Amino acid sequence: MARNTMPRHLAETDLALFVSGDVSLWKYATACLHIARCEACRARIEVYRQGRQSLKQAAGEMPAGVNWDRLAAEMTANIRVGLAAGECVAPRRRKPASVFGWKPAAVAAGLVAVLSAAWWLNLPSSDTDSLARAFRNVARSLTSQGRPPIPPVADREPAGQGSMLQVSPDGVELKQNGVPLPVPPAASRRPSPAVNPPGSASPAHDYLIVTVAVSGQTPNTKIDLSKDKDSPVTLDSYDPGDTKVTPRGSLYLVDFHPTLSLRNSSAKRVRSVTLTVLAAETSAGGKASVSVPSLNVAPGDTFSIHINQTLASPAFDNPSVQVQLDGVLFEDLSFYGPDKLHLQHNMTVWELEARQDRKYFKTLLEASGRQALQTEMLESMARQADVLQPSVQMTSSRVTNRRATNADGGQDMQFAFLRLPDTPVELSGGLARVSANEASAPHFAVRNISKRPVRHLEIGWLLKDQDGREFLAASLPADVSLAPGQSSQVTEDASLRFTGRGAIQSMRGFISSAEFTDGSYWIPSRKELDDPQLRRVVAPSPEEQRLSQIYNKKGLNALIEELKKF
Amino acid sequence: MGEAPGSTRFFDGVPQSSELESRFVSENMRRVFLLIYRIVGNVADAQDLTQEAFIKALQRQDQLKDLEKAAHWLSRIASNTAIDFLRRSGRVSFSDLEDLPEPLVSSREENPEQRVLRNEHRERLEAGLEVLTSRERTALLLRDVEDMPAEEVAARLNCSKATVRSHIANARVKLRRHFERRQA
Repeated sequence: MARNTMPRHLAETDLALFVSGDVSLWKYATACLHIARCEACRARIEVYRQGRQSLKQAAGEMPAGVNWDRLAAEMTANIRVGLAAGECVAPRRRKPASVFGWKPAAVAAGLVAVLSAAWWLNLPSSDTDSLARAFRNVARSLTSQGRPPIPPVADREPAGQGSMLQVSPDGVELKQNGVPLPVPPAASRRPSPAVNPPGSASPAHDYLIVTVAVSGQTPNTKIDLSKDKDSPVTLDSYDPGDTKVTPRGSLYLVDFHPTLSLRNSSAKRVRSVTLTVLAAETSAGGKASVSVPSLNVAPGDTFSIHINQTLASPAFDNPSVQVQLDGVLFEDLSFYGPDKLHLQHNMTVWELEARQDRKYFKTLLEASGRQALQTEMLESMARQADVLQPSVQMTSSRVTNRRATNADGGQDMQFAFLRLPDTPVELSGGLARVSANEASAPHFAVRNISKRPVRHLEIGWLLKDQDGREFLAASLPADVSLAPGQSSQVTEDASLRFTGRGAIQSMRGFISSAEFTDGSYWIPSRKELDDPQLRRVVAPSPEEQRLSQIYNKKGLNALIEELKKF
Repeated sequence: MGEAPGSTRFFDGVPQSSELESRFVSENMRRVFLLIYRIVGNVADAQDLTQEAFIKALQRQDQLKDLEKAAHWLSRIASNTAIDFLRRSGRVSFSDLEDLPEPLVSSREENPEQRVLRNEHRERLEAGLEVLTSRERTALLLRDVEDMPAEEVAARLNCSKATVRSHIANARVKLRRHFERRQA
């Protein structure tokens, strides 16, 4: 009788260990006898066996966002340096990118892409503004490509005299004479939030949204709201998140990670917003910015912006962070804000690209159906994954413009040009000084071939390394005054150095957008961007990336619903 | 050359030593990085620790008795480096994983759909590993991915074999439940 009775099932832990033979001999034999008769336990063991296999398989996959070639090259170089120095990777420090993090990110709330940047130049504001304009375009090109946070290459060579910004997909770092800003470690304190009544202490400031005082000595967060009654965007609520203050030598590092819930107080839909985040006006590492394109916020509605920055503030002062509105773009393309970062052009271009892309996907859906839209999304995601994006360093003009001062500063290299069929401005000539993997002081001859005067240009700068790999290194802004048919010269003080494995082999330029004096814009059409040469190097727009993320995470129906909202 | 009998210096003293070193590093780097990454859970730390492991290995070549076992010996150094790091930090943070944007790594032969599926597979694993404790995760990875016997895992984790078995069993059960919940 008892022989025919099925014994109770094997213990779950025994089942889990059985698949790798990690049970005792007795248990193993017992289990073998049992599973010969028990289908349920047999099935469960199969699940564990498959789980083991798939773990092994998936563990061999590189984490998302890692460009292995680049990372391996960087680690190899660091290992060599470590061996040469006879040290075993001495006190480990967090990555500069984590400390001074600029990270392309997608904010979960509303699936809004956030483009953020930070800069730490201890330069006069005029220089800072100029360089910030140039480098935010690098940031934009990196961010728009949805690139992962790859740690910047540890650069042991003197990168030049004076201050230098190192821009990489996950960070911007200030270096002085090639040496990173020293940041000795110290204990962190996390302030507990204590929100004071609005408008109590800080003087009102135009466009100010919020000032957050984060005391370095007594954990405390104090918020003073703007008194700017005209602002189309106002603070609805504030969540400090993981905001904390860490003393580092002569600085406070403010890990500023709040979520701001903002209200559209205007009568128009908001399409994008840029905020400046300021911990210290003059000290290195004190400023950052956050731009949020692809919004669709109706009047009276609220939306969230998550800030994820680490800022430096002088230690002699109580650290505070001021979040200011720098610009709001509305659905009618009107703009509000001081635009200190000169991002109005970019915000408008993002919006125009977004409209173009949504229209394309809607038309595709109507004409060719769901399958075609799905295929397009998959191709877009593949393209985002394929576009090469190396780490790019940008230096200021006075640091690296070696034309007059450095005899071994390389040689002039001609630009080749990529002319998009409908471009209103053509590039007819161009040079940059090239030395190994660094290109500086590019200048271009431009001609307005449209019938309208042009006042602003963005020039895409493509670099090809000696392995034949081409990538978009930067997008250079240029204010011009070009009447129809008129030619002019555009000179940029920026210098780029990419952290590839070889020298710059060739360069190409193309007009990526233009603004006419009547306030209208030209951006390349999707058909023009479909050029195989461009598709390899230019990633889809932020909006297309946002839509493909919706498809990837929520499926085709969610994507179609999203398209219907516009 | 003054070396201890039986020791192997497989780089120094050989004309092409730097070349051999480079090959040793390049042939093993991806495997070592992934092992460490799965244990510590973020790219930045994994990068530092991978470098640290290779530097340790290359500085301690004298300890390698059998050239055939160089890969295994390196794995031991790598896992010890990662485990030491976990011990030092006292915790494991996976926050960096969430910050990573969309996938980048791909092979040209794959079609987009395959690539998406593969990325989903990897994301599933990463999410699953997050539900484990650091010891469970380390034990599971050393046992299932590195094929290390439970005895050796116990030695690495400085605990008994019974404890390691418990970690491995718990980890597998947790992962199974996690995946079932996600499927549901």
